Amino acid sequence: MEGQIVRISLRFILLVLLQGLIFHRLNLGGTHFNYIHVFIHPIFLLLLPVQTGRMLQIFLGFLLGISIDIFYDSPGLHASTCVFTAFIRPIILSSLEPRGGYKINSVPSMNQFGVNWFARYVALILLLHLLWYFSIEVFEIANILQIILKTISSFIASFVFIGIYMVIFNPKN
Amino acid sequence: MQNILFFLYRYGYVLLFVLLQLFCFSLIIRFNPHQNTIFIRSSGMVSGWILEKYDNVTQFLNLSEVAQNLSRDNAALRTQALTFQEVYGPASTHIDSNLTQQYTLISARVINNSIASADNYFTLNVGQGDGIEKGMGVIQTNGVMGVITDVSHRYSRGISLLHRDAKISVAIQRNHFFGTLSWMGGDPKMARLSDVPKHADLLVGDLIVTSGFSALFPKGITVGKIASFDLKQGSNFYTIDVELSNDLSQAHYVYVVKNLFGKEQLDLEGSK
Repeated sequence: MEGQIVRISLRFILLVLLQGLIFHRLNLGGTHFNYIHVFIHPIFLLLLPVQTGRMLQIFLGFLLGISIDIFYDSPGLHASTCVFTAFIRPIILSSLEPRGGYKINSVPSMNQFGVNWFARYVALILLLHLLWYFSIEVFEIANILQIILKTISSFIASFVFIGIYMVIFNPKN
Repeated sequence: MQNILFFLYRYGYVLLFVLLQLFCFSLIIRFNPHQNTIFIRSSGMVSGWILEKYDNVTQFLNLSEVAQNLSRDNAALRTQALTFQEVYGPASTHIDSNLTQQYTLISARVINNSIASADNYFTLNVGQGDGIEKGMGVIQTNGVMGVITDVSHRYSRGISLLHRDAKISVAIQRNHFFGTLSWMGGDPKMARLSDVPKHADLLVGDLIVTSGFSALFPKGITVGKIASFDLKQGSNFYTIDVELSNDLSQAHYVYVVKNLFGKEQLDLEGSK
C-alpha cells in the first residue's frame, strides 16, 4: 500500500517533468502544421487504481493539471481538462468492466487486462481529454474544424507516445 | 440532515467537479489573453441583449424624472439657440470655414452601469452600427460620464469616470489652469484633480470644465466644482477635491461625442 503511494507520487513527478520539459517543446507538425500536440501526462490518471475515490481522483486531476499549466503558462487550461478526465474515468471504466467486475486493488494496466482492452481504454479517455482541451484552447465554436483537426492529429501522436511509455516502463500496478 | 450528508457522500464528487471547473474557467478567462478576448466579445453580445431587455422594463420606473431632465435640457438649448439667432441671425445663412462643425453627439441609452466597484463600467445600447468607435468620450447633460473601450455591433462598453484608469483633462473655468481629473475610489460624487501648479489661485466653488486638450471631449463641459484644496509641504502642485456635477448613478440618457477632427489630432500627436 505504501509502496504504491510512493510509486504513484514518483510517476506524477516523472510525467509532469516529461510533459512540461520535453513534450511541451516537441513540435511534430513543424511551423506549417501546428496541430500536433503530444500529451502523455494523462497516463497518471489512467493508471490510478480502479477503487480510488472519485473525490480524490478529481483532486489529483486538478493537481496534475495545474502543475502542467505551470510549464505551459496557461493557467486553468490543463487543470480544467484533467479535472474533466478524472471525472469521466470511472464512467469509462464501468462501461469497459470485464465480466465478473474489477478485483480489489486492481490497476487498469496492460498486464492485468491485456493489450486490446488497454488500447480501447486509453483511446476513449485520450480522445475525450483532447476534445475537451482543444475546445477550451480554441474557445470558439465557430472554429470547430480547427478543434476537430487538432484533436485527431494530436490523438494519433499522443496514442503512439503513450504506447511507447507503456512498453518502456511497463507498470504492473 | 442525514439525507443531506448521504447525498454529499454519494454525489460530492459532482459538486467538487463543478466547483473546480468554475475555478479553472475563471483562471482561463482571467489570465489567458486569447480566451479573455473571445469571452469579452461574446459575453458582450449576450449580456448586452439581456441588459437591454431588462432596462426596457425598469426604465418605466424613472421615466418621469428622465422626461423632466430632458425638458430642462431642451429649454437650456432653446435659450442658447435664441441667443445665437439674435447675435448671428438664422443659422442657415452662415457659410464660414472657421465655423466648421467639429463634434457630433450620438444619443444613447445606458443599459448597464455600476458605481460601487473599485473599477466601474457602463454599457450603452449603441455600437459600431451607430458609428461608435473605441476611445470616444461619453457625456451627460451636466457632466462627463466616461470613455468607450469596447464596441460590438450593437452595444458598447466603457470605463466610467469612476475607474482607476479614467483620466480626464480638465481646466478651472475662471483662470484656465488645467490638470488631470481622476477618481480615488470611495464616494462616487467626489474626484481628485491633480497637476494644478501652486501659483494658481483657487477658490472653493470654482467651476471645473473639460479643457478640450484631449480628443475625447469638447472644451467647456461642466465637470464639477472645487470642494476643497490642499498644498502639501514641498509639493509644487495642489491636491484638489472636486465635487462632480453629475450623478453617475442617475445616468439614463447620455451622448457619445464623435470628434470629427479627433483622428487628425491623434495622428499629429503620434499616439494610437
